[in-house]
Amino acid sequence: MRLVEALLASFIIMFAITFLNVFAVTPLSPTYEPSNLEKMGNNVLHDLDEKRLLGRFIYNEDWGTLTIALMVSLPPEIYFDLTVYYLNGTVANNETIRYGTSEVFENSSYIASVAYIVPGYQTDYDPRFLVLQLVRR
Amino acid sequence: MKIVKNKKGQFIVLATLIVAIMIISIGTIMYGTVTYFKHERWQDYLMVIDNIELGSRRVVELSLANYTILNGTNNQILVNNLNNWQTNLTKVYPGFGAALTHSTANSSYYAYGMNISYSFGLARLWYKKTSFSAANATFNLNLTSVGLAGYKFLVSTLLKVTIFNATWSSTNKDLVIYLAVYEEGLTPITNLDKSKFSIKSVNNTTIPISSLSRVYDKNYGPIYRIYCTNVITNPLPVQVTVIDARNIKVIASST
Repeated sequence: MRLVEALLASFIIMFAITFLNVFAVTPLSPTYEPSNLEKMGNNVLHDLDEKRLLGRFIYNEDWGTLTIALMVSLPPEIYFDLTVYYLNGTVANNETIRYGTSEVFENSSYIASVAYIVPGYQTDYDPRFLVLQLVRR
Repeated sequence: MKIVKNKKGQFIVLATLIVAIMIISIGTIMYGTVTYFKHERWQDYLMVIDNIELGSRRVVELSLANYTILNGTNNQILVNNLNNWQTNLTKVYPGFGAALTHSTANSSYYAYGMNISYSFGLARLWYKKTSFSAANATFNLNLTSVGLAGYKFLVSTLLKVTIFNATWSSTNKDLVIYLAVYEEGLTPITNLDKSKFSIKSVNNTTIPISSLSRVYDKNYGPIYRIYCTNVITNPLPVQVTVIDARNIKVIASST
């Protein structure tokens, strides 16, 4: 008689665990590309801004140094393309701020995009909008 | 005895049923919590909040820089810039429903060991041994897309200059000034170079700086020593202008 009850109890526990497994949440994949790339891009822009370098490069139109700064800050397998816009939507950078060829961005299955704003430089409020696109090689 | 045995057996089944219900209940709660945190893009929201905080700090700093470089003539600059910043933010983060409101300090506060009288969030007290320029604004951020409301943060910016000693030697014809420069939190600023300082004598003539060095004072910590040679007449009291890396200006006087 006890054996039957013990078996019944085991079945109940097994059922409960099996029922829960249906709703089990799988852990995030470490290669969850879009989120990682966006986070990485945002962190790089934020760090450069905190060090007061981003504003200096943008408002002095030092696009070459900005490209190098981004290349140094991002891992070598990440391609990027940065566009700086004025408040009215026209493009501010007359040179491309890019690492990687344009084909890389055209052929990639996923391009991460990060928006950032720099409010001004020195004593002037004159915002620039930044759009940083990132692709993993 | 038989009846007692049967009751014990039923108790096992009942206890197991209760345990099973507990497992399922805890599992359901955990499922709800984990999926909520999984599907919400918390990292993205934190990044946006960080960016808005940093941008707001930059707006306050550049407004104070503008206010001090123009010798306090435009005391509306901070309010105007913050109003524009509020509008521009919505364009950058449209999907987040970011709404930023602000209020600027408009009364006298005791902070950093001195009274600071703000007007439209800006304050300055110059031509004293301890002089300063300051700004203060409180922000309230809502991210409507996630139901975040009432995230408050304060931006307080300060540049303070204290002249400890200014001496002129009639025999050596040189001028030595010891002063300290602080930012908010009374953190000493120690990375300023010679170009960030300028000195004017009592008759308003500019005295060239021969050398600038950093020394450590046991009472005041890291301070600057400014040395000027070939100062023929007594220049005291002198006015020292300091402009920091943020372009915020302060003019202090040796008396």
